Amino acid sequence: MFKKKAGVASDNQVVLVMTLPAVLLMIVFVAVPLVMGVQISLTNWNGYSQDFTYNGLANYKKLFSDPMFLRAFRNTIIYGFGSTLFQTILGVLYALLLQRAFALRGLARTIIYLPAMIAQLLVGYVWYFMVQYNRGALNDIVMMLGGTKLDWLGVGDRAVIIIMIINTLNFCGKAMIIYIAGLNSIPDMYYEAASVDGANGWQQFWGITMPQLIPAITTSTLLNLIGGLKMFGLVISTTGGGPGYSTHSLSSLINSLYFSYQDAGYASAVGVFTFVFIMAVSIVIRWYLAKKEAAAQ
Amino acid sequence: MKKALCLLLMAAMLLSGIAAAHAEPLSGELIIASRYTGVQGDAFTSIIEGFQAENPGVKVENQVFTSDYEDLMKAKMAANDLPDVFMTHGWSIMRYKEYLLPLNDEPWAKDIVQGLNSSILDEDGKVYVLPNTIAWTGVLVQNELLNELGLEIPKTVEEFMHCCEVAKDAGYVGVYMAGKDTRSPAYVLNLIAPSFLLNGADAAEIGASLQDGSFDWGKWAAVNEFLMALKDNGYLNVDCATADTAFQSETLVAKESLFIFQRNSVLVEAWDIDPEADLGFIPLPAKDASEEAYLVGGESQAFGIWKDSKNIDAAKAFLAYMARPENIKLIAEVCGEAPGLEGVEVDSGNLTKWFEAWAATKTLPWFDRVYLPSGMWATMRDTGSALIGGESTIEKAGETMQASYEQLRSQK
Repeated sequence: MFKKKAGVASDNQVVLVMTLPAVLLMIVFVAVPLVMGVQISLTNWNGYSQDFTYNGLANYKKLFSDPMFLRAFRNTIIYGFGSTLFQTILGVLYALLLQRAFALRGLARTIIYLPAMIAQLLVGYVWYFMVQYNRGALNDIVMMLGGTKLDWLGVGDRAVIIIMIINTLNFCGKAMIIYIAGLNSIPDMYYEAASVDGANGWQQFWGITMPQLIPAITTSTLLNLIGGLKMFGLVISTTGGGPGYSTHSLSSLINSLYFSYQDAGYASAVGVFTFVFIMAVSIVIRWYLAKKEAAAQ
Repeated sequence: MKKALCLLLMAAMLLSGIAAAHAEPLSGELIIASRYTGVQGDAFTSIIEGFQAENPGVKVENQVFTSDYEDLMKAKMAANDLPDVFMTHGWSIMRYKEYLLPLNDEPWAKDIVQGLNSSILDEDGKVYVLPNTIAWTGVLVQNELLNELGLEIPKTVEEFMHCCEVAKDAGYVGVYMAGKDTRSPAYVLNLIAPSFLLNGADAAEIGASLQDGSFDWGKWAAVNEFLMALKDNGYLNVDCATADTAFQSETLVAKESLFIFQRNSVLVEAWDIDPEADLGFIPLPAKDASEEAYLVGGESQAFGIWKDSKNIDAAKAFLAYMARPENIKLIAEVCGEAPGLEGVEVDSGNLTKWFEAWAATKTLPWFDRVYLPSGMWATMRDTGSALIGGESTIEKAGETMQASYEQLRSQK
């Protein structure tokens, strides 16, 4: 019907030209830094000098014997998986609650979503002032109830849990929005049919709602997991990675190794590991949830 | 005779040509990097404006970086693209030397305060910065509280611990530490290290071993033990590992704490809150009575010139302008520090009496800047923070310091 005219670009050429800017940006801002990061990870560069030497895989060999890295790796898993788990639970609960029509529903949704729009650093500082030992709101409440003040962030393991909770509360609004969209896409006829068959609310939730929410869970889980595994701002603003290095995430550790310890080579090795780890986790989770999605169809 | 006259005439013309070239007004664009804000920023801006008024052909861009200054400068060094003039914040030799222009021939170089030599001269005697001020400090003290508790200024570690014990028993904090900023415990380690390592008869030997890599890190345990003694005896604030620096000047003004290991700028902040507060600084305690208490001093508000700058003449002119007594005085006064050039009289306000009181006190250089490789400050921050946070032991912290020392030396 349509004849290709001489001098007119083919569809493929148009697509190629239109994707070129994005591809170029990816090359400049992702591929090149990644390759350079790998290159730096094979050196003993201090991060600013013009002199350095290649030291092979020494930085990678150091990874699993370095207590600082192991601690940050463990914390990153807690921040990533812990936050995602609780964000999913809270997100689904909020979504179920706020899907129903009631006065001020929009305001409630906005309030829950609001922290997700604020920079993590600011959220962290606000929370720091709530949990700090002196003048902290949490300790004021504890003392009002007759308890003793506690230095909440003074113990590394406890501080890690607190940071995980802060991250959960910060981003559960984002999960909620995704789940509300997911709930809205479930046809009412499923519930009507289930009611006719005598299924109660609990049975409907597990038999209809949850299986139908799997695509939303996939999206939300991946977004929250990647966000949690990359956590940086909250750690810096609440504890700065301390006491010692006990609350560092891999991202904040990279920053500390590069700029403070002046060990850019090792920092890059941690960076390459973090990239590979997050990519591997994302692929496995994506594959697992895709299988669940297929089973739910 | 004619020939000689001709030669003389030619020489005179040549010289007058050179003189004319020198008399030409300076021109170009000068980029200056600093981290001055607030009152200090205003003072520095006024110096730049004064320089520009005298040199209208030079356009100055003042790039102000605050907390990110060191990170940004590292990134700029990595790219070998630095500002024409930049602050070296105590690290002209150990970190920035590779990028700086030697300035020994500048007219102000002969006026540098002698006490600074150990921290700003390299092994060849070259100086790379104009040192506006000296960071001269000891332990910050709530003097009114010290007097109320009937305590004398402590001269030894034992006397210092006694003061803390008395303060604790009276319900006060012996040493306030804002440990959320891990520089706070690192300051303790950095300031007290000379007491155990570089203040006695074997100071030269230990100093040399630190610099040549043969230091016995078992000796570092005494430094860690000092910090742990403060923690274990309850002399530190309960939230020593998590308190924010925003409150450290307040705690002095409110007479809640007796001592703080920090720079004098904390006193200046405290006097902003209450100009009448009886605060000051005292020398750091000696290990025992056989040695003297000491202060720590070294390069502070210093500026150098990037050796590959395209505007070296303008940059040198700027430093010469900044080295004028009135400008050194201005910077020293707003920073609460002593001048780095001889012959400059400053009015340091409430600090003046303390500067005068300790004028004859033994002054040692900042420990990490002279004896440790660049980058170990971070290790001191983490090990100090881990010690007060119960995340490490004296032995482990010592091992971490040694490993970091060896790794950073291997980068050379």
